[in-house]
Amino acid sequence: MLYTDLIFIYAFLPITVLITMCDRSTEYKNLILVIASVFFFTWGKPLYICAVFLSAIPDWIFGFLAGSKSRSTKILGVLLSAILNGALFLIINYNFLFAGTPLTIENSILPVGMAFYTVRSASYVFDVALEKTKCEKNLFCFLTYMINYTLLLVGPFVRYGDIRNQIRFRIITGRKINDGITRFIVGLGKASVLAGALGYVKSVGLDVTDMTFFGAFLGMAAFVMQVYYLFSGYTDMAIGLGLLNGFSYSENFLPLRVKNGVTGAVFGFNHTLIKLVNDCLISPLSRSSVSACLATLACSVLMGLWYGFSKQFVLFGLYFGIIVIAETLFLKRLLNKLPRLICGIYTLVLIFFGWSLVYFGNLQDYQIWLSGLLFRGSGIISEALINEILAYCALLVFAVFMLTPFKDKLKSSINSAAAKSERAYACVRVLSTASLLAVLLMSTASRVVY
Amino acid sequence: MAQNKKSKLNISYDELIKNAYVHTQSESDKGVSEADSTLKSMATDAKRGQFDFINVAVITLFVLILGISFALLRNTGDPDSETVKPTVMGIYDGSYTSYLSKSYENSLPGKSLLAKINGLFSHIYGAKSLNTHQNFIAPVDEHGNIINTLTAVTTTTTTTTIYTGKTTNTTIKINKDDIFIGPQSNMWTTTTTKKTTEKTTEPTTEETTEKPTDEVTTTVTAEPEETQITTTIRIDLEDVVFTENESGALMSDFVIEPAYDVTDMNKIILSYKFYGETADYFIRPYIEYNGKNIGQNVNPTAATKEFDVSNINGEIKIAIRFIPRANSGIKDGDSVNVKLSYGLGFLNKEERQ
Repeated sequence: MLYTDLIFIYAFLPITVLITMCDRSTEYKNLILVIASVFFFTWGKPLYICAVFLSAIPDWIFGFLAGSKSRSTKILGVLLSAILNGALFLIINYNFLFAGTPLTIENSILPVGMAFYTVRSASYVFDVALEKTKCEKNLFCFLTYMINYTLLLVGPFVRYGDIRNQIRFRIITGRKINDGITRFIVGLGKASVLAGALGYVKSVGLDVTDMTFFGAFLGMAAFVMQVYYLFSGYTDMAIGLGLLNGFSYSENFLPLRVKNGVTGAVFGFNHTLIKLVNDCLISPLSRSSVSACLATLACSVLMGLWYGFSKQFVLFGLYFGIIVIAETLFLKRLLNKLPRLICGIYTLVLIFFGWSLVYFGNLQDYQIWLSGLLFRGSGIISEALINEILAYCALLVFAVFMLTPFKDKLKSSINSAAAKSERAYACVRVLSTASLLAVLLMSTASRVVY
Repeated sequence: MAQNKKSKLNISYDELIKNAYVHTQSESDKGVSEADSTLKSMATDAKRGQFDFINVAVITLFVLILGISFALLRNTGDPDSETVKPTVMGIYDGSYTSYLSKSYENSLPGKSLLAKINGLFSHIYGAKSLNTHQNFIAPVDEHGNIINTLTAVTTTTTTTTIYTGKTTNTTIKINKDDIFIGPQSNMWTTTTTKKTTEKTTEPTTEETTEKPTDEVTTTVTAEPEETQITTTIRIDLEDVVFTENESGALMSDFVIEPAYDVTDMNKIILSYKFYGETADYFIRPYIEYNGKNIGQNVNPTAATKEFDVSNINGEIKIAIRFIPRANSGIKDGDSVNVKLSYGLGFLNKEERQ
C-alpha cells in the first residue's frame, strides 16, 4: 500500500484514525499503530516481509549490549546490529546480487521503506552506544518506533531519542489534526499532482529518440524537480500522518538558500538522514581536515550506493562529495563575496548536472542528452514537448514558484494579512480549505481516471 | 509641632489615600486591560479555531462521504474482473491483497463524474493541446446522447490484456506511483540478455477496394475522448521475438483489444496517454489496419495524432511497439505492466468535406 493509493486515503486512513481516537491512552494508540502498520506493510506484499519485522527484536537485544558500560560489549552490540541490518538491506533491496543462491526472493517486490527501516534500526543501537539515548527496556515501545507506518516509506528519518517521550505520552489535539490533514494533503498534491505533471514533461523532454535543446534542458529540470517533489511530498505526508497519530516529527527538507551553495542543497535534501550520517560516521572519523575530507567522500559514496546500487549512483555520490569538500575548504569564501544571482546560477547548474548522472542508464543515452543540450540534437523543441508544457503550464509555473524564496514572502504576507482582522483570517482559511479540497479531488480524479 | 505633624500626617494620609486610590485604580485599569486583551486574544483564537475546525470538518466529511460511497456503491460491470478467493498461499504471496486493491480501484463508482472533474481541472492548470479537433462533431440522438456507432469486436471498458507467452512469477510493476518510493525502487538493474534478432518483413501496400456508389455510407464520427479506454497491459516477454532496426534498437509489437470495424474512413485520430516510467523502455502506440501498421507516433508519453487514410474498410486496432532501452536489463521471461489511456476518433469522407 502506498500513501497515494485510494484504498489508503479513503479506507485505511479514516478507519485507523477513527479507531485511534476511541481511547485517549497512549498505550492504546501505540497498539493500534503497531497493528495498523503491520497491516499496511503486508498489504499487497508477501507475508514473509512481516518476518523482516522480527529483526526488530534482535536490535532491541543489541540495544542492551550497546547500553552496557563495558566498551567491548558496546562495540559487539554495534557490530552485530550493523551486520544484521546490512545483510537485511542487501538481501531485500539488492536481491539481484544473490541470484542463483538460496537467498533469492522469487517474487519481485519493491523494497519500499526497507532502506529506511534498516538504517533506523541500526541508528538506535548506534545512539545507545554513543549515549545519545537511553536503552529501551520496553519491547512494545521499541516496536512502536520500529514498525510505524508513518515512518516506513521515506523520511523524515526519526531517531529514537527524538520520539522516545512521545511514544510514552502523547495527545492528539484539534490543532494537530488540523495541521496533520493539511500537511498530508499538501504532500499528496506534491507527490501526485506536481510530480506527475513534471514526470510527463521529463519523459517527453528526455526522449533519446527525439532529443531537442529544450527537451534536454527542460526535461532534466523537470526530472530534478520531480525527484524533489516526490521525496518532499512523501515526507509531508509522513509528517501529516505522524500529527494525526499525535507525533511531531522534525522537518526533512530545508529551503534552498543560494548563498549556502551546493552544500546547503545537499544538507537540505533528506536533511534528517544526512544529519545521522554526519553524527554517526563523519564527525567521529574527522580527526583532521584530511580525514574529514576522506570521511565525507566515503560517506557520499555510501549514500549514493544507498540510493541505488549502480555505478551511476557511485558517481553521483562522488560528484556531490567533491563539491561539498571544495566548498567547505575554499569555495565558501568566494561564494560569500559573489552576488546572490551568480550563487543561484552556480548552485542550480551543479545540481542539474549532478542529477543528470543518475537519470540515464548508459553512456550512449547520456551523450545524446549532452548533444541535445549543445544544440546538436533533433532541433530546438519538439511539438510533443510544447503540447506537454501547454497541458500542464499552470502546474509547471506553480512548481517552479514553490521552489523560489518568493513562496516564503507570499506566505508571510498572507499570514500578516490574515492577522489583521477576523474577516481576513476567515477568507484565507476558506480559501485554503477550498484549495485543499481541490488538491484532494484532483489526486482522486487523476487516480480514478487513469 | 503636633498640629504640623498632624497636618503633615493628614496631608500624608490624604496623599497616601489618594495615591493608594490612584495606584489601585491604575493597577485595576492595567489588570482590566490585560484581562481584556487576554480575553480578546482568546476570543480571536476561539473564532479562528472555529475556522480551523471547519477546515477539519469539511475535509473529514468529504473523505468520509467518498470513503463510504466507495465502499458501499460498487461498480460491478467489469466483465473481465475475476473473483479471487482468499487462500493461504494467496495471502502469503500477497496476490490476494493485490487483487483487493485492484478490485477496489477498478470498481469505484462515479468514474465518469470524476473523469469530468479531472477534465475541468485540466482546463484550469493547462491550456489546450496544439492538435485541437474542433471540426469533429459527435452525432447525437433525440435525447442529446452521443451516438457511438463504432462497432467494437470485443466490448470492454477497462481491460487487462495478457499476451501470449507463459506467465512467469516475475511481475515488475512500473507505474507512476511506484517510482522513487525510497531508494533504488525506480532502478531496475539485472543482467542484460540480448536476444537473437530477426529481420522484419516490410508490410505490403494495402489495396483499397472501391465501394459501389449506390451503397449507403454510414456516417461515423467520433472524438477520441468518446472511445477513451484506460487499460493496464501486461506484456509477458517470454519467448517474444524482438526485431532490430537500423540503429540497433530491439522492438516488438503487441496488439490491444478491442478492435473496431470501420467503413469508408478517411481519417483516424489516435489520442493517447501512457502512464509509467520510460527508464527501461519506450512505448510507441500505433494504428493497425487489417493487421498492418499504418502509422506510428514517436512521442512516448502522450499525444494526439491524425492518420490520413483513404476509404478504409476493415478492422482497426491499436497496437503498441515495445522498445527496451539499451542496458535496461529487460530480459526474456520478464513481464512489464503498462498503463495506457487511449481513444480513437474517426472521420469519413462526407464529414471531411
